[in-house]
Amino acid sequence: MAKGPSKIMKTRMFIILVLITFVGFSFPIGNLVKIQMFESSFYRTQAADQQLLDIPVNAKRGTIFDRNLKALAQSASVWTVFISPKDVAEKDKQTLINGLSEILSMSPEDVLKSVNKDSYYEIIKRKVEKPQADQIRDFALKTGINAIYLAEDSKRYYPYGTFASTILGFTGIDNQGLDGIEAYYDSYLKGVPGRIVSAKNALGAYMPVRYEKQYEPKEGQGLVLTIDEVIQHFVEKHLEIAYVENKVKEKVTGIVMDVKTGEILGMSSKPDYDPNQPFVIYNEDAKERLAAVSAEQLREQTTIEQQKQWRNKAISDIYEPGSVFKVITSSMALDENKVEENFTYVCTGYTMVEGHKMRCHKSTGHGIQTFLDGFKNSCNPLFIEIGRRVGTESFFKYFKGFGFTKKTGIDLPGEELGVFYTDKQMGPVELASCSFGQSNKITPIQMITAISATVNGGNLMKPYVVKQILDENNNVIKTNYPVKVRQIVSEETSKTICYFMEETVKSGGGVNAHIMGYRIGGKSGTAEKLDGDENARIASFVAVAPMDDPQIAVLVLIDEPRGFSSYGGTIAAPVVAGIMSDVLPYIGVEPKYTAEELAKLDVKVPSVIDKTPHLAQTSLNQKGLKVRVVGSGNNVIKQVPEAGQSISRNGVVVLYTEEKSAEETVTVPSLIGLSVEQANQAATNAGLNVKLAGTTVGGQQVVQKQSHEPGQKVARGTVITITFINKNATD
Amino acid sequence: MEAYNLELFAPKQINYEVKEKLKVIENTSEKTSKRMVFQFVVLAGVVLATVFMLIYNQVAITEAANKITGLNKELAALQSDQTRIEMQIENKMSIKKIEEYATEQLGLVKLENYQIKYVDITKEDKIEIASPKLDNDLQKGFLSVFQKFKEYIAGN
Repeated sequence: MAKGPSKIMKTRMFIILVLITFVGFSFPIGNLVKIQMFESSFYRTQAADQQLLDIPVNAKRGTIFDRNLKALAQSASVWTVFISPKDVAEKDKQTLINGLSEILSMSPEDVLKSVNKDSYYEIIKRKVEKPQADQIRDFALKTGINAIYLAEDSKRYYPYGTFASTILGFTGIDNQGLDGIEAYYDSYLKGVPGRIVSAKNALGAYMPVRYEKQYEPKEGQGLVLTIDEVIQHFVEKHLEIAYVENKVKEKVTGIVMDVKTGEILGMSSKPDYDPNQPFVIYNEDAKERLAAVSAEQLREQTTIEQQKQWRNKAISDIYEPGSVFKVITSSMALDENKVEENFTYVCTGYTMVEGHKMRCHKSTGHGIQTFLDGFKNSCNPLFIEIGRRVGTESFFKYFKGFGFTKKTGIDLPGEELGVFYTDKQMGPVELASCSFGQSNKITPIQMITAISATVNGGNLMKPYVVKQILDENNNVIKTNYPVKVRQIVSEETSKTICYFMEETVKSGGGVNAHIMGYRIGGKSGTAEKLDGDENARIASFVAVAPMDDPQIAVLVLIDEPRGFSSYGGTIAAPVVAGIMSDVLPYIGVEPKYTAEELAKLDVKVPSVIDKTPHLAQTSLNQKGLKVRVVGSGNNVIKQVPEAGQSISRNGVVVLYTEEKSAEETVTVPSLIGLSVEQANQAATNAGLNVKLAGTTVGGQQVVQKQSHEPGQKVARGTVITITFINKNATD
Repeated sequence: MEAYNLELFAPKQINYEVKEKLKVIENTSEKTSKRMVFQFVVLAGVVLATVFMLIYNQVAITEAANKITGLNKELAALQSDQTRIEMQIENKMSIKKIEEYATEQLGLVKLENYQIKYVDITKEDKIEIASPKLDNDLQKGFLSVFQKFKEYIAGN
């Protein structure tokens, strides 16, 4: 009888089965090992991408404060309105278009374009604020249209509009810094975005209940600037006036700097822009230029105008400094002892250098001058001689030492480096022109930094704009301290320069920067634009105060003025005086009047109404005022000027004692261009009082403007304010 | 024949009769099933209640979390709106606008130099003669006397 399979057979069958199984499953097992062990990370990523929805949560951008913690730039949440056009029912389209266009103040045609798109995601409007976002929500609820969505976003607010725009810069559509401080410190300001990681279903819909994990965003850090909001306002106010009054073609720029620390207290250029709408052209002249170009060129020209208005001209534009640079040349000569104590120079109106005739701005020449005279007169031939004595090598050594061959390193983007002659390139002619501030080109920030070094004891300080960095709770986490780059001139030289500059404002080319009661030093400059229109000029003036202990320096630059003058001493100096007259009292520098200045102070007119004419006259005479009585009544019924107004000593107060004589009027004459004496006489003859404004020192003052228009009818005795400038203060 | 019947003195083996104890088995089948059911029901109830509480707990936590998230979102939105309104207020209260309003609407002017009264506090030179060192000498004398008195008392 046959028996079943033998043991050997069973064993062999088992082995064969195992082999078949092994061979058969080896491929899938090997694949599994490969996927699990060697390619796991790849497939994990793929699975995550497929199964998880990653929604970024924007971090709130840090706030920018001025030095007194006034917010200059701050972010807040806004919303992006978007729709899913494919999910909009046909019957709801018109309702949706009408509703959204009304709430968002858009044209129905623009909304219609989005509604007709073949997609699930169309942005209708960005940066929508809460009141409108709430209206959108209510509208969607009321109409039952589910295809309208709101996504949270962030918007940057600049509450003061154009204020400090060239310093602050602006942000882009994704809240990234694009210019100014916003760009330079973007890594601090932007923070770290958070995330919401959640599962999504096969249709890609968000499944918030399961698997959701939130990663909170880290808010951006705040910045405290060195800028003082009040000082910045003073600078901008006076620059705006200067821009209009001088019919400026290019720009006006102003910087206020702390000479001891390098902190920038104020910096502005006009025209500028509104960072709330950075892409809108702000300047009227620019708008006219755009209106004049063809449609094909419009886009390109718009970009050019935008770049122009965004540019911080105080650090990005180079210019020939003109005679302001003579402060530096003087420092070199004094520090190198190249000018002896009894130095004199005769200016004949020109000098010859290697066959080239180099003229002085005073064609008839200044005659015999000491070094101080030459500085006050801003005599070009004298400074050519000074430069020759300093020599090319030393000149360039100091030029480099004052920081003109490198960027200052200010913490703002877009700083430019000037164009200059090196010692190897500089021959006698180049040295001559460089000595009085032509040929070399520098930036305004380099100029004021160097000037500050000449008056603060010889220390070149690094300018900076950000004082502190704050965390999200406004705790200080980093402070920027003043950085001394090097000692460039001695303290002795610095004291001498201070003296020279003060004398220049007292009785030299800087008299139009003089302010009664304050010790101010300064230097004017008028430079030709050698690579532009031959008649184009840059008028500038730099001032430092108070001269017994210099604290601040102010530099104003007017690029291509087209008004009544283009001299720095004539048009830039009064702007600096205006800024100083506002800033000095603000920073606690009180005026100290000399006896002579005290005598020139205005007088407040007291009230003499109802007094007898004799008593009124006595009262007014005691104040140093003269009296004119009109009528023969017993009591004063009206007085001009009125009580409380100020007029100069020896002014005339007109007292009316009868009703019928109270309406006497006079015609205002034109006083423009008259000297002090002529203007006073003309006003007195016309029956008017004058109040003096502007510079009152130095002689040769003429009226630049008057408060009442010529030909205007006013009451007899009315006070006319007349502003003087010194017409000899050219450069 | 032996004298004694030693078997009589041998310990007697007492044979115990092992009586099989009869187990009284009560008829408890009915009671047992009832108790088991009761226990089961109670246990099931406890388990269900626990599960229900756990689920309810989770639901309550989720609802509360959702509510917190919603309120936080609302708070953030309101704070943003507050920032927006504050920025609008700051815009209207800028220094430039304040100055324009003060000068154009209210007619205010900058402080004039005549509105500050200057007082000369400088005085003429004068000579002050230092007083004699009387006090010092008196003091020294007093101390010296006091010192001597102390020494006297101490017997030195």
